[in-house]
Amino acid sequence: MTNKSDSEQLIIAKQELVLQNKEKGKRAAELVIANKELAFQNVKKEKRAAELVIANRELAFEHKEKEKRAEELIIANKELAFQNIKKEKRAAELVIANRELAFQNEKRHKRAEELLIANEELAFLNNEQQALFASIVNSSSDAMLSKTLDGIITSWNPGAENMFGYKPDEIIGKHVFILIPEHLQNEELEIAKKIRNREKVEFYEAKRVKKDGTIFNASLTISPIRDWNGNITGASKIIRDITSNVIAEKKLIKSNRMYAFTSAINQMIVKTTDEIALFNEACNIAIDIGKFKMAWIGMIDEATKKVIPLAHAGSDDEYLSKMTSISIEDIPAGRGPTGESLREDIYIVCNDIENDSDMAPWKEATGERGYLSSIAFPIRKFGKVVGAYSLYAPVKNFFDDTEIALLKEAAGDISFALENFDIAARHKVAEDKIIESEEVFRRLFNESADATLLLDDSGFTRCNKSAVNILGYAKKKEVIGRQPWDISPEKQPDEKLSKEKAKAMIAKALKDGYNSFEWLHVKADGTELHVEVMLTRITLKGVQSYYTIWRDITNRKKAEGKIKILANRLRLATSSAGMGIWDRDLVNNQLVWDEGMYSLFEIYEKELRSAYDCWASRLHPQDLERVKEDIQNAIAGRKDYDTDFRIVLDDSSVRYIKASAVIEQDAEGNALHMIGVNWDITELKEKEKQLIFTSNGLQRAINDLNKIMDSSLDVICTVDAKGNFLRVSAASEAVWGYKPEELIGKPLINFVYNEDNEKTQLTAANVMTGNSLNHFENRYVHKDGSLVPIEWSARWDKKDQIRYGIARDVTEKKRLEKAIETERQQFFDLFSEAPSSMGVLSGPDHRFEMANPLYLQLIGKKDIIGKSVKDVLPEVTEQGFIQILDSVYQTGETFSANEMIIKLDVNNNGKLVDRYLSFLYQPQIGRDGKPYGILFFIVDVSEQVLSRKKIEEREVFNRSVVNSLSAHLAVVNDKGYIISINEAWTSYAMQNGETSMERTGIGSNYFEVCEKASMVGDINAAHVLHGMKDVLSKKIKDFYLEYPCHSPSEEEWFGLRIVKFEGDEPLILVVHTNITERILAENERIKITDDLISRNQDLEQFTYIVSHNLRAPVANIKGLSDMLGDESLSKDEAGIVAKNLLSSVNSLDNVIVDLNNILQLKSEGSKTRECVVFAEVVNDIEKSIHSVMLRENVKIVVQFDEVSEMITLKSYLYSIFYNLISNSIKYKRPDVHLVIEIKSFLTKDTIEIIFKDNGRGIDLKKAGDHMFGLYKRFHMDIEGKGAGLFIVKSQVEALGGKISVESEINKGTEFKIIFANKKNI
Amino acid sequence: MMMKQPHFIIVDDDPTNNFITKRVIKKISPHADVITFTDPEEGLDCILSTIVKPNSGEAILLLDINMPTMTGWQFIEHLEQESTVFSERLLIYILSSSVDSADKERAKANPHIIDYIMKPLRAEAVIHLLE
Repeated sequence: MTNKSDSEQLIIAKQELVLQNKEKGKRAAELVIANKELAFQNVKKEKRAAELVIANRELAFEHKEKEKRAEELIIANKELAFQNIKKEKRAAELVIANRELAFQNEKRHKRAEELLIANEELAFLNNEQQALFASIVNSSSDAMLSKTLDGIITSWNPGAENMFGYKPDEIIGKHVFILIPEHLQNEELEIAKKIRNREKVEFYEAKRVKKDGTIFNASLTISPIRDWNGNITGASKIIRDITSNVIAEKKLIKSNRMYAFTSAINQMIVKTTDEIALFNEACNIAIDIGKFKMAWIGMIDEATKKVIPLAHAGSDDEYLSKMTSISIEDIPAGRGPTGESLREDIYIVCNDIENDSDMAPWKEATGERGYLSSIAFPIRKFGKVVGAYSLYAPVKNFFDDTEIALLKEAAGDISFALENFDIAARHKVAEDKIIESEEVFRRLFNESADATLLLDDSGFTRCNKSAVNILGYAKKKEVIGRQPWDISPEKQPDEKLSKEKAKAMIAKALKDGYNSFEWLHVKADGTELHVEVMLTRITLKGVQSYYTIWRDITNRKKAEGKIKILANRLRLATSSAGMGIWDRDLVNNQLVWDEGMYSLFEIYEKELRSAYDCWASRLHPQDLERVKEDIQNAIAGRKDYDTDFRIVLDDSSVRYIKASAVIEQDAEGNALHMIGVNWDITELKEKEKQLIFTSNGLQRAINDLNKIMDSSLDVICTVDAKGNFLRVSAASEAVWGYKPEELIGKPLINFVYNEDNEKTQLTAANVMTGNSLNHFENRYVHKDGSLVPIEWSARWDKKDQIRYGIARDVTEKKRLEKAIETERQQFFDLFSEAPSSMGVLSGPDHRFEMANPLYLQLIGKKDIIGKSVKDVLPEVTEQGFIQILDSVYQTGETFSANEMIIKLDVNNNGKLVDRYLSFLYQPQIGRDGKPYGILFFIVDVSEQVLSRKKIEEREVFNRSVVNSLSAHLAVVNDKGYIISINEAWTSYAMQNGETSMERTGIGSNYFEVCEKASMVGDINAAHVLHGMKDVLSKKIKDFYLEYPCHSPSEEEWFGLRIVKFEGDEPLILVVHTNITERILAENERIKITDDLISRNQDLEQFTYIVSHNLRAPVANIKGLSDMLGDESLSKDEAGIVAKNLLSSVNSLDNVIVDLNNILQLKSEGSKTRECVVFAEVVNDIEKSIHSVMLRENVKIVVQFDEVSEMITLKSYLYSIFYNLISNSIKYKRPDVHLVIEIKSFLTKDTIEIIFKDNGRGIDLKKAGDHMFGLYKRFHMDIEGKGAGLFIVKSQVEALGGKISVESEINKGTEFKIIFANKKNI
Repeated sequence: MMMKQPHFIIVDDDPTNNFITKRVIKKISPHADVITFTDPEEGLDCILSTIVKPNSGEAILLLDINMPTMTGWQFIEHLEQESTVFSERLLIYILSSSVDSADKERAKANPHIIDYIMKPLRAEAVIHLLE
C-alpha cells in the first residue's frame, strides 16, 4: 500500500501545503495592509480635520461668527473621526476573521498532512503496525481510498462509505469516475497522468458526486502508491467534504466585498460635493464593488408622499420607470421595503422577494429582472427621513447580519454626507461673509481719506496711504515701527512732554475703549501737523492694539489763531465807536459780551452775573418779549436780526439801543452762533421824536384849511405866478364839471372861454401887482361844453407868489329858463310817443286840443283837432261817455275806469267793435280854480281781457275737474308754499281737525309742516320733505311713498306722490291718495294665503300621522294576526302575540283619541272667553292627578303675585297647564324629587307664565325644531305619544300667545309662555 | 343563492314589530342570526364595531324610519360619516309602516338602500331577502 517514493510525494505535497498556507497568510497580510491604508486615509482625514480646526481657530480669533463655525466644524469633524474609528474597528474585526479562516485552513491541511505522514510511516511498518494503521484509516471520518493507475478503486474505508453512500462491495473494482461529475472527469485524468509521471500533484479542491447524485465540494490529498521497486502502481486519496468550508469562504468573500463597498462609499463621500453625484456614485459603487444587481436612491416628494427615484445603477431594465410608484403611506404601494423603510425609519430586508406578500405589487417586475433579495435603508437628514437607498441582490437570502451592519453604515455615510453638504453650504456662506467684511474693512482702511493707523505697544504696525501723505512721507515703511512721539515735537502746545502725554492718552483709550483728543505731530519736512486723534481699542491676534484715525485740523488751528487777532482788532475798533459786540453760542446757549457791551449797558459788576441776565435785567419791560421774538425769528432764519429796543439804566434813564446780528450755520443749515453788535441811538431817537411832533402840527393846520375849502359852494383856489392851478376846492366839480385833480397843475386860462381870455389875463396881471379884486366876471367852459359865467374875487400873496381866488357861478336864472323850455319839448316827445293813447280836451263841449297818434289809431279817425268829441265819436254819446266828461269838467274830479267795454266804429263802416279800455280823465284847472279842459289817458286792454277771459274759462273747467278728484292735491312752490289745493285736500284737512286751513291751506308752508312733523319723530315726513326737494331739484323724476295713518277710530293708509309741475316754473304737485281699501284688500289676500298654507300644512301633518302613527299599530296588528294563523305557534308565543296585539290596539286607540283632540282644537276657533284664575287651574289639576303626585312625590310651587288671572279660554289654559305639568312628571329624574315652579309676570303689554322643573332636561341642539312637533319624543325609556307639547303649542298659539323652551340635560326644563295683555279682548 | 346562516340586524323602536319581524325570519330561516335594537344608537354602535370591520360577513339591516331619537335617514347618514365600506357588507332595507309615497321615493333615491319593505314583514319578503 505504501512505498518510499510515495513518502517523497507526501513530502512534496506537504511542502506545497506549506506554500499554500503561506499564500493565505500573504493574503491576510494584504488585507492588513489595505486596512492600514484605510487607517492612513483616516489619519489623513483627521489631519485635514485638524487643519480645518486650526484654520477655523484662526478665523474665529478675529471674528465671532468664525468661532461659531469652528465649533460646528469641530463637531462635524469629531463625528467624522468617530465614524472613522468605527470603521477601523470593523476593519480590525475583518482582519481577525480572515486570520481565523486562514488558521482553520491551516489546521485542516495540517491534519491531512499528518495523515499523509502517517501513511508514509506506514510504509515502513510491520503488520502489527499496519493493523494499527488500518484501524486509524477505518476510524477516520475522511474518505480514504486507493485506486489503480487506471482509476479502478481498490480500497474503500468506512469514511468513504459515509461520505459517498457506496458500500465497499458496491464500489471496489469500479472506476473512480463514478465519484466525479462527468464534466470534471478530464481533470481527474490529468491528475492521474501527473502521478504516473511522478509530477508534483497539487493539494487541490474539486467537486465529487455522491451515490444519491448530490455534488459536493471536496478537498483532496493524493499520493502515489508504489511497489517495492518504486514503480507507481496506483494512488491513494484522502477526500474531505469541505462544503461548509466553501460556504464560509464565500461568505468571507462576500463580507470583504461588502467591506470594500462600505469603504468605497466612505471614500466617495469625502470626495463628493453635491447630492446628485453622491447618489449616482453610491449606486455605482453598489454595482461595481458591491456586485449588486441593481441599486437606486429615491427621495420623498413631500407633496405626493411618493418616492421619486433620483439615481440608479446596475441592471434596471426600466424597473424604476415602470414599477408601481412607491408611497410612504400605509397603503399597498407603501408596504414594500422602500416605503416601509421610509415610513418606519428602519432598514427593511426582503431575503425572498418571490415569496414575500408585501412585495406583491412588484413581484412580477423583480422576478423578470432576477432581483431575489432586496434591502432598503432610510436616508436621513438631520434626523428626518428624506429618502431611501435600495439594493437588489441576484440571490435569495443575500443579506445577513454582517452585510446589513456594513450596508447600514454605507447608508449612514450617505446621510452623513447629505448633512455635511448643508453644513458646508452654510459654512461657505459664513466664510464668504467674513471675507466680504474683511474686504470691506481692508478697503476702508486703505482707501479712507482719513489717516488711519494701527498702533500697539511696539509702535505703529500698519497705516494707510492717507497717513503717509498727511505726514509728508513717501512710503508706509517710514511710518510703521515708529512710536507716536517719534513723529511729534518734544512738547505739545500745552507744554506737556509728548511721550508722557501720548502714553497717558493711550492708557485712557485702553481703559475706556476709546479716546479722542487733539495732538501736534511733526511732518517729514519739520512743519506742524495738528490732528484730532481718535483711538479705538481693539484686540488683534491677541495683541492689544489701537485703531487710530487722524483728522487734519492744522487749518482750523491756523484759522483759530487768525480769528483771535481779528477779534482783538475789532474790539479796539468798536470800543472807540461806543459799540458792543456779543456772541451767543446757540449750541450750548451761552452769551458772551465784550467790554463795549458792558459799558453800553452800564454794568460794572460783570463777574457776578451772566451776560444774558445783565441784558434781560436792563431791557425795557415793554420791549423784552418783542426782542426775544426777533431773536428767535433770526435763529429760525425767518427774518434778519435788525431791531432796536430800550434799556433802563440804574438811574431810571432810558437809552435807545440799535441791534443787529448775523447767524453762523453749519453745512446742514443748523444755527451755531449768533454774533451781533449793539450801539446807542438815544440821540437819534430824540431828534426823530421832535421832528414827528412838528410835522404833525403842520399837518393838522393844513387839514383844517382843506376842510373849510372843501365845504364851500364857491370854488376856492390858488394859482401860482405862471397861472397854473395849485389847489382847487371840491366845488369845482359842481361849477365846472371838473374834479380838483383834473385842474391842479394845469393853466387856469385853458378853461376860460376864448372871448374872455384877454380881459382875464389883464385882470390877472392887475391882481398880481397887489391890487385885490372883487366882482370880476368872465365865462368858463364847462366839461359838458356849456359856458359858465363866473364872478371872481382874488388877492395876490407876494411872499409866496400865489394868487388866491374865489369863483362863484352866476348862471342860475338863465339856466332855469332854459330848463322849462327843455321840459316842454320833452313833454311833447313823451306825448306823441307815449305807449298809451292820450290827449287834451278843452272847453265845455270837449274839443280835441291835442291827441297823440296812438289815440287816433285807437279810434280809427284823423284830423280831429278842434272838433268836439260828439262830432268825432257819435257812437260813444249813447254809451254815456259825454256825461262822464261833463261831470269831470263841471266837478273838477278825476275819473278813472278799468277794463270798461266801449263799442267803437273803428273801421268807419258803421260796425261797432268791442274795445276794453282802461282810462283816466283828469281835469285841467286854470289859475282861477276852474277847469278849462280835460287830459285823458287811455290804454287799450282788449287783448289782455279777452285772453284772460279765455284762461278763466279754462281755469274753471280745470278746477272743477281737479275738485272732483278724490285724491288730495296741492301745488307747492320751490320755497315750500302751497299755492293751490283742491277740495279733497281741504276737506281732508278739515276732517283732521284743521278748521281755518292755517297749516295746509293756500299760503302755508308745506316744507315747514313736514319739518315740524319730522322733528317730533315722524320719519315719513322727513322722507316726504326730501322727496319734495329732490323732485324740485330734478334729482329724481317723481317720488312715491305709502304710509299708514291710523286714527283712533279707523286704520287708514295713504299713498303720497310728488311730481314736477309741467313747465319751467319750479312747482311740484303733491298728490295724496287714500289707499286704505287697496291695502286692506291686500292684507285680506295675505291672510287668506297664510290660512291656505296653514291648512295645507295641517293636511300634510295628517297625512304623516295617518301614514306613520296610525299605520304602525295597524301593521303590527296585521303581522300579529298572521302569526295567530300559524299552526307552529307555541303556547308561550301565542301569549306574547296576544299581549302585543292588545298593546297595538291600545296605541291605535290612543292615536285616534289624540287626532280627535287635535281636530277639535283646530275647529274650536272662537269660544267664549272668561276670566281664568291661574291658582284655580293649578288646584283643579292637582286634585285630578292627586294620586300620581303622591306616588311620584311631586311638589308644585306657584307664584302668581304679579298677575293672578287673565281673560282667556279656560279649557285651553287648563289643557296647557295640565300637559306641561304631566310632561314634567313624565320626564322627572328618578333620583331627584320633582319640583315644578309656575310663575306669572306682567309687563306693559304681555303676561308671561313660566313653567320650570328640575327634571332630566332635553338636549335642545338635538331636539331643536322638533320639540313641539307631533309624535316627537326624545327619550327612549319613557312611555309617551309625543302629542302633549304639540297640543300645548297649538293651544298657546290659538290663544294668540307664543311658547319657547330652554333646557339643559340633567338640570331641568323651562317653558315660557307669553300672552298679549289685552284686558278688553 | 341562499345564505347558510344569514345575519339580520333590526333597528326599530317598536318592540312589537321587532317581535313579529324576528319570528317571521326565524320561521323561514331557522339558523338565521337575528339581532334587534329598539335604540338606534345601539344598533349603530353594533354595526360600526363589527359589521363594517374587515373579514366580517355580510348582514341584512332592516331599518325603521320613524324613531324618536334618530330617524332611519339620520341612521344612514351616520353610517356614511363613520364608514366608507358599510354598503359593501350591509344590505340595507327600510322596514316601515309608512304608506306615505314620499318615504318610498326617498328610500328609492338613496343609493345605500336596496328596497323599501312595508310592515309587517311577510314570509315571502324574507324569502326574497335571502335570495
